[in-house]
Amino acid sequence: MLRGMQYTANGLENKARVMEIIANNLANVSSAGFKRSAVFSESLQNSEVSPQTESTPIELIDFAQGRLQETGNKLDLAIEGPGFFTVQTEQGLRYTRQGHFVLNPEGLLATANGDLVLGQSGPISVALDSSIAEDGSIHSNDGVVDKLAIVQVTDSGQLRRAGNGYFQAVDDRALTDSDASVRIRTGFLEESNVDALEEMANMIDVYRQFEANQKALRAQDETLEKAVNQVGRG
Amino acid sequence: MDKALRTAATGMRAQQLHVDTIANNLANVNTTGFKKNKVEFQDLLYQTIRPAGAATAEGTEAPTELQVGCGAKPVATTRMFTQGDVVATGNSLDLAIEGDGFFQVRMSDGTNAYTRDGSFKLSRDGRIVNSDGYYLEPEITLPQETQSIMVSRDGRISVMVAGSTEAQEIGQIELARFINPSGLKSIGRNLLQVTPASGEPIIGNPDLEGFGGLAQGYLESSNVDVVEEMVNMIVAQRAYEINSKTIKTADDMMSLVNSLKR
Repeated sequence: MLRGMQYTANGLENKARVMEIIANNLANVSSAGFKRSAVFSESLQNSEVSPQTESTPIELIDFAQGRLQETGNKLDLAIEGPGFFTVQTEQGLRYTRQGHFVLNPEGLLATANGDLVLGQSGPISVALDSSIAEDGSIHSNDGVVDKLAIVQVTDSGQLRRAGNGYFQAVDDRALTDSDASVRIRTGFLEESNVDALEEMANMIDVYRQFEANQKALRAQDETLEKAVNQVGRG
Repeated sequence: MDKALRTAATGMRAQQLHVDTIANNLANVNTTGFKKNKVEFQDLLYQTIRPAGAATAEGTEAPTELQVGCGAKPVATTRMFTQGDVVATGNSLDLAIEGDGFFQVRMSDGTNAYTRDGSFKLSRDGRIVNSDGYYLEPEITLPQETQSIMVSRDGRISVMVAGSTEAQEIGQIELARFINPSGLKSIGRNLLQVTPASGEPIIGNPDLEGFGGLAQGYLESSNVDVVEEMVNMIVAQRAYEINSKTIKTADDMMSLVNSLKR
């Protein structure tokens, strides 16, 4: 009985965790380049000793393409297809799909957080006549000056979230240069890929599961109460 | 669970700023030369609940980690420099820029400010000033007894003086361009200021080398599109509402936990 309560309490804890993840998805419904977290529960283990082992939710980043929104801003870039911009931060290289870029005081292309966006040959200096082509190459009056460093991951599980719209590679070997299928759209931003409808449905779902777990815990509590207070009274 | 509450609160705060920005855009739907604003959002930091490689109950290693985010934050408001509609006014000192560039005006502290608002006036001493009385840069003084003013597309100003049959050229309007105009700082009164993010101004004559041409007798109206802003407002309001639903649900869940112990 007590073990059963423990399992149910564990279920409650996990549902609460899932709720937190859904809350974060919904809070970022307007964050450009945001990728939603998809949550799965680990399958229940059946064995003779324990009908159910401790399970934790599994969170995966859903890298589905977000819609492109036209901004008309020359330094807003969106990636169509798989791929990430490479950003130099104080903590090391970071990868992002958020293409809202600005110029820093040195005239270099930077993210809204002030971190440098990298090209094949380091930071990118932008002049008035610069333009960025669909393949990511940067043109000026003198021809091609640089190319955006766009990377792809072979296994999307190799990226972890680093906050501020950035991702971090767990293992650099999982990164490759982008192939020809990746297109850069100037004057566009990629919207968050959170679907509010889906998240609301998930929220209702997780709420009801939570409720069911709570009911189960109460039922066990009531049975336990009977066992403790009434059995053996005669 | 209270984490979900706080996460939703950051989402609501972000959407509040979204609505604030839309309100300002809509309030300026008739402001000459106004450029609409847009807010950009980002996710906040993540808390790693279980790192990748941690041992699971089955004795294997977890291939992915469990990260829970802390919500969203506004990271930048960007001005959108798309062209506004050009409206005829018939006033000879109303100038619209068709294309890239800003008029330069000299502030009282000696620095330059930049504007797309071309509704110029004359000061008492015959100099061209903007609606707030700041001098157009470079300074242009009209001779006394000026009868009519002509501004060409490339910015040359000529006047007809009483008693003369020939127009005389008296000055040249120069425009400024920026590598990153969205980096300019708004200081109100339709004026923008240089920041490190905008880059230094590049000065040139209208209608040349990428600069827009001038249209005399026209004003550039606000580039705020009411329909678009209304749609944005609905989106922002719904997103706000959704986050409040998260708070409600998290609250209900906590109430369920509370009722566990009778």
